[in-house]
Amino acid sequence: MTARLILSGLADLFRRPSTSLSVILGVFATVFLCGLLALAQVGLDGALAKGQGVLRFQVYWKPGADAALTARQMDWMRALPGVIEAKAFTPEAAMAVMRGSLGGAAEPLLPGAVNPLPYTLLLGFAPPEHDDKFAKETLERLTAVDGVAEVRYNPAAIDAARSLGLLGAQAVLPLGAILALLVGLVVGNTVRLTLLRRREEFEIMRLVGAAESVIALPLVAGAAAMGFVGAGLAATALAFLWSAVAGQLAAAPLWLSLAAPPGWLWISLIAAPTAVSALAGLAAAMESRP
Amino acid sequence: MIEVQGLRHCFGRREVLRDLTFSLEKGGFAFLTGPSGAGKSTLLRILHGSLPLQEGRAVAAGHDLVGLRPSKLHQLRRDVAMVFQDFKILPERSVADNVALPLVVRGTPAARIKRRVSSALTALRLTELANRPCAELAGGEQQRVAIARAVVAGPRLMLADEPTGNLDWDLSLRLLDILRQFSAHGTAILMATHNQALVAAAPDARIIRLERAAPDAAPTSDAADDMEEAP
Ligand SMILES: Nc1ncnc2c1ncn2[C@@H]1O[C@H](COP(=O)(O)OP(=O)(O)O)[C@@H](O)[C@H]1O
Ligand SMILES: [Mg+2]
Repeated sequence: MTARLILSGLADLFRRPSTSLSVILGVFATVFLCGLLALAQVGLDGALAKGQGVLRFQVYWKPGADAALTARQMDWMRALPGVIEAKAFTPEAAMAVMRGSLGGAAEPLLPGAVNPLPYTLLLGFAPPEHDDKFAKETLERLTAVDGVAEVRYNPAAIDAARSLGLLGAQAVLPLGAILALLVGLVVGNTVRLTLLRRREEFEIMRLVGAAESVIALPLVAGAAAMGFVGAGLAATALAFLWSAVAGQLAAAPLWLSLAAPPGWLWISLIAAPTAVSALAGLAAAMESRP
Repeated sequence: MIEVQGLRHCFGRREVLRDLTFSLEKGGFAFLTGPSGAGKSTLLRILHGSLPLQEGRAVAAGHDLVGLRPSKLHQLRRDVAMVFQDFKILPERSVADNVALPLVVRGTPAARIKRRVSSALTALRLTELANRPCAELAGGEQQRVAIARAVVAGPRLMLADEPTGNLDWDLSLRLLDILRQFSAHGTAILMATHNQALVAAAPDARIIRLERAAPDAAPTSDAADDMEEAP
């Protein structure tokens, strides 16, 4: 009986496809927007926790820089205070990587020609706490090195991430409340409209012996299904967006490697709107009892 | 099947039913008569749980109406079926769907629904119309749909409010015959009518007669009678 009522509630959704679709769209938009903010918060938190305070500098030498001198300069940089990671690329190594990616078909440009690729060094610093000038000073020191063409660094990204993260932490609770409210309103009002439209039918069902649950259960099932589909679509869209953005951020100049959002986030992004929808449907059905 | 004792009902300060006492046994058949406005529909609606019992005692098909909880109302209505004066059928649904409704809402298995609907349609000569939307039917046909729906689940008690109101004399007699057959099979039937000729056509049937209770009652017409049905 219960299964039959649930199925009939789902079948009812197809009787008015445009109504169902617009509710699903409403849930989708709400969950997507709120999920986006939640993901930004969680993702940046993760990135900050992982690279907590790590300042990264990518140092580029001028093309054709002297190999021996560059090697000594690199050693000097590695020995700078606060360095916790360093990764060097010589032009030869870079060329080898390029050749590898070209399938080994590429010939050396010209025998004896200057390799056009520069020396580069990726440096990670753990900056001393509360030293706002450290990043700037380090940047100036690295740029001043003879033969260095350019230094790229990420403090702006980290600052931005930090302030966004702080904003997010405070916004998560009200955000969740707004999500619940919006989803509840959208779904609840639709169920209320359905009850109004089918008032005569439900009244007749009561007169021939229908229990209230027989009337309410299909409505609740339909409401939950609309919430589930809308939230599921939103979560899917967010997952795609996440993987695209994560790929972009992991490259220069940001070097923000985003940890995958935790499973509970995805589950609650779907489960919460589904539960709220079911509850809104139930509340509407209870209101309509004579 | 029905036990009514000292029943009284008022709409506002207007007394419609006063100190009513009667009973109807299992499988019994009784006419509920009286002029328009005497309270026939009111009594039936009380027995069906659509109006609260104000004063007195009433038991319908074993369900005590004193203090009947709303959550138990559907149980009463599974044992007590009603044929409404205005049919209360779903016009856009087919005859078969309408007749099946009482079984559907109590979760009867589909195969059983099919069997019972088909025998109810046969009994009321509706088989030909089974798949027609009720909106396309004539008044008398809709009335038969309402009766088929009332008998389909085998109620212990059937309340019928002016079920011959839309039928000509021949059809009225035939309907009376059908109802009496159902009562002979064990369903108690209380049939409200103000048609004296019909009552006379079944001289052996019980008669419960209501009078207009309040001497200061405002005159009612049949038009007013129809308007009072709003839930
Ligand atoms: N809901 C109501 N509110 C006020 N008065 C009503 C209501 N229902 C019925 N009445 C009045 O009660 C009286 C009895 O009505 P009813 O039971 O329909 O009589 P009958 O069915 O015998 O014609 C009528 O005068 C009618 O106007
Ligand atoms: Mg009446």
